[in-house]
Amino acid sequence: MAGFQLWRGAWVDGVVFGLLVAVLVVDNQTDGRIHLLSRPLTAPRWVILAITAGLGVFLVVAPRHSWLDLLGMVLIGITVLLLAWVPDPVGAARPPKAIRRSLVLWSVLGVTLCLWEAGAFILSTRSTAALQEYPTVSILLDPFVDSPIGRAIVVVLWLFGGLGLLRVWSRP
Amino acid sequence: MTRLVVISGYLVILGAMIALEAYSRSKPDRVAPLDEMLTEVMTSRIVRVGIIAGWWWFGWHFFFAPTV
Repeated sequence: MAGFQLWRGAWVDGVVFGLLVAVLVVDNQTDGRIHLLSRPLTAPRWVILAITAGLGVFLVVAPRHSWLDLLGMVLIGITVLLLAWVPDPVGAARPPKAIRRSLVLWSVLGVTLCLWEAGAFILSTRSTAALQEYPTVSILLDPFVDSPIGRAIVVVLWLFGGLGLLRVWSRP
Repeated sequence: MTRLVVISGYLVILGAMIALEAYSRSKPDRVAPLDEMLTEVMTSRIVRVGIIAGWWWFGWHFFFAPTV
């Protein structure tokens, strides 16, 4: 991922992913000795909801690609890294075979999507006309995210997706 | 024509994802639903941080970074 980002000219994305991989490798090789917090971050649900709503309004109102967006994304990035670093000890209750099947099938679909997108991107770099002939997801979604309503929808979906992945609701 | 093929590819993959989730909801002991599978695999720090980083990058890419 880091290599692909660097290759496509997204230097910051590549450096961020590269650093993250390096930290994870060091943590893995030292049996999880990197501790970012002395204890897990928790908060009442109304606080989580208020912060999320505030972030949502901020991201919708701030001009797209502006330094305000940069500030918001950096703050969100640091916060979710701290939240994600803490162990999430409880696993699912389904049979291991069902989990494995689901993991394999979702991985196949995810990798297929990435390869399709990467193929479209590589072919789209050949000329200006090719950019429209081989559209990436970014090119297709860009006009939608540029509109205020589209942006609000994407921000809400993205923030709720993050809340779900971080499991902040189920934390004690 | 090529554009249509590329977009169709995205839609087929999206459709397969929706179909897989629908199937797993109807037979969860055969194929675990996405959220339960994620709950299991995200007990690993590497996977958890990796998935959260992917989610964050989506926002970074669409809200701040210019489309390259």
